[in-house]
Amino acid sequence: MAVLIRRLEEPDQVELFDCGDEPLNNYLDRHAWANQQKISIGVTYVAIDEGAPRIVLGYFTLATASVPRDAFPKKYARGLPPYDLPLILLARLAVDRRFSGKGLGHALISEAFKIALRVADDVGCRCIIADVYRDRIDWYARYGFVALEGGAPSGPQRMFLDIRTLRMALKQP
Amino acid sequence: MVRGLKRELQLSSNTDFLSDAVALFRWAVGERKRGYRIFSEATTGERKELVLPRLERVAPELALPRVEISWTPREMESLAELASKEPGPPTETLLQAMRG
Repeated sequence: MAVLIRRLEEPDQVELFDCGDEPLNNYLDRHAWANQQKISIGVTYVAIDEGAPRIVLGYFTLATASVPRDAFPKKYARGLPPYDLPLILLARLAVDRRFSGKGLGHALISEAFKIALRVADDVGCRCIIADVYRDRIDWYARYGFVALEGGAPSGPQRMFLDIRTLRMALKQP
Repeated sequence: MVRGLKRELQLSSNTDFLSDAVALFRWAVGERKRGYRIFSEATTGERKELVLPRLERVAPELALPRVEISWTPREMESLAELASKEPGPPTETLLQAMRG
């Protein structure tokens, strides 16, 4: 199987995707294309097998956001740049359960990191933020994501990864 | 120029030359289509990027849309604390991800 990761295209067979989580299936099936092409609130990248290039094996969605500098507590102002803090939101990441356990999640997040670095090089970005299902926190932590404090006790956990850590990883042999 | 290149590459036939040239160009187009940049890297780490206007035509637009995120005050404080600190070193799993 030769896996390729590219932007979602309209003819992709998103309706067949099943990661075992209805909101994630539903997002890809009903909203991902519209969000990408019509209302522009997220770009979805899909993993496909080059032998069956319309069947989606996994996907992730990215967007950018920023936090106004004056929203931060003053005691941290010195350590932050004197501008709003730009960030990339890793909004969703899912693998079809028929292909789980084959390293597709790793391939998808690796591609998301590389895109994040390119965006950071082009327009600036300080960190990646992901809202993570609680049973997946350990998986994201393995990549260096750190849980932010203060979110709702139930529901997704918001996690942080510094872009400078990604750059360090890129430079290491 | 073609003769010189053929000599350097020790290619005797134009067919082989064209075949190699097309293979190289095809690879470059594929890489740019996936959004990858193409660099040469010296042993000192100095990098030069290959930029051809025709190749740039096939590169996907990288611009990501912008959204609003809601934060609790404590999340905002936690974000400020992490973003103002020195970044942590990459984990082994992250290193593997960036090597792939």
